[in-house]
Amino acid sequence: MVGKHRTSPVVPIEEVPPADASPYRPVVLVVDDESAIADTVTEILSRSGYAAMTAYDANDALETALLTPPELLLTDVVLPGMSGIELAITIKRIFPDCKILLFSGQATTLDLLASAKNEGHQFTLLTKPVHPDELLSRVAASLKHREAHAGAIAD
Amino acid sequence: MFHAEPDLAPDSTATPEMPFDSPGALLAAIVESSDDAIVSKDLNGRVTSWNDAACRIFGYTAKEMIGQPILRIIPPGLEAEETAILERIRTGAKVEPYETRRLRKDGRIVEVWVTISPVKDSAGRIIGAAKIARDLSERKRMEQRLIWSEKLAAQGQMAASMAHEINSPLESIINLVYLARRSTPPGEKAHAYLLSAEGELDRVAQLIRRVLGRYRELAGQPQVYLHDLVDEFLTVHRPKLHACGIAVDCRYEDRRPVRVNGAEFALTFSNVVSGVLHIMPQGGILGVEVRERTTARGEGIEVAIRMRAKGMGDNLQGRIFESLLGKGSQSGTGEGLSVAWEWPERHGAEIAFKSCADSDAAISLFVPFA
Repeated sequence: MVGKHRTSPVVPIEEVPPADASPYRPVVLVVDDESAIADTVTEILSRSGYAAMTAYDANDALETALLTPPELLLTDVVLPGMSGIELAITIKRIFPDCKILLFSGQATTLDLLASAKNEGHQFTLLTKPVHPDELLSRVAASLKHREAHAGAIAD
Repeated sequence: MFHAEPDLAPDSTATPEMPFDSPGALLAAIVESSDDAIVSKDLNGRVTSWNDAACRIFGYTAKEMIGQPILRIIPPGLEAEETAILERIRTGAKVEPYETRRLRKDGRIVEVWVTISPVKDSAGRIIGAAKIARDLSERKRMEQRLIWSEKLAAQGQMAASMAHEINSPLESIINLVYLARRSTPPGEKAHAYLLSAEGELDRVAQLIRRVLGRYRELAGQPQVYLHDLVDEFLTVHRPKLHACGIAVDCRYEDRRPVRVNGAEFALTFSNVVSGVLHIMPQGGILGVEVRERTTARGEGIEVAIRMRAKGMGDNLQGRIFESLLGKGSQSGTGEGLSVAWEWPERHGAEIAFKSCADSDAAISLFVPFA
């Protein structure tokens, strides 16, 4: 009926969505070394019915992803150590179905993106600051295709 | 194989033939063929000799200058310099090389590097001074260009670091205000405040994006519609233009994008427009037309900027040149053209001034399809 990825991600009780929301809560992994951004984005997604998880660097993110496979990775490009793009490529290798959204406030990002493109990865880049409304619609759009696909399987 | 070698050998060992009758004639020839202005004057500051280069640099012929006071080429305000030089020369001391300005016959100022030494007669008495002046205009121009390009690079770097420094906290604030608003019941005053705060933050975000987005493009050049760039610029500057009494009339007829560095195009365009503000203090009409055109450089998009100044009957074209080239003034607008010159070179693009009626002028920016 449902894929493995839908099984019980850990969700704090206060983040449980309102009763009218769909019981299906896509898992989104939010990665940003700026905790103020990571935390607020996670909260925004949680309030909108996603099972959002937070990580502050790439290693942290990989650990979290292995425990709870994400359906969408939303990561800052510039991270300490492994970059957001390297993280995205790694996550894609482990979970090929995982959707990727990158966001960045830096001009140097395009070089990194170009190198990812050379490796055959085409990622969507959001430019900081991203308004929560836009972020939510981008997240929904990224997951839409997947939902339809999952729905087809369920049928 | 090479027959030149044995032919050359006897030449190089031969005693050089003296083509001049006397060492004096040789010296005179050297002076005449020098690229530096070499002039001499007596102790009263009257010119006694004037070479070809002096003629070229200062615009006066030898005939016009010999016997005349050297003060003719000293710009107003620098007369004291000449008095001090003459005093120093009378004591037999040399004047250390220094940089100064001189006045050309056509009224333009020329930057020169001068060396002045006393001239003695055979008895060792000081009878005047010899001055060597080197024209620094070309070097100055090169220096200026270097400064401009460094400035541009520095601006780009600053923009990039600003992007990171400002965008991250801005992202957090936007998120926090959003969450705060969502946590406040819609009827409350705080909700309305937070809603306005979000609106203002959105303005800040857009402003930063507008400025920095252009620099981001430095890394990769996407295809853009020139009318987008023009329109965006005019939207931002319309209030300022309006305040200056300048009506803007736009026509966008380009249907194909071009590959162009948006940051540099915006800078060039903005510099041209700020030049326009300078020359139309009493207002006027600024017409901007973006259209497809075929020129000698091929097919492309032309941004044609037409100006009609109010209340200034004559020579708008000349004023534009002056304003953009920064001639005679230290205003920043000169920078615009330097960027404007460099920008097309790297893009196969073209900037041109068009002659029109006296109160009209036009500038055309042409970008070919890549």
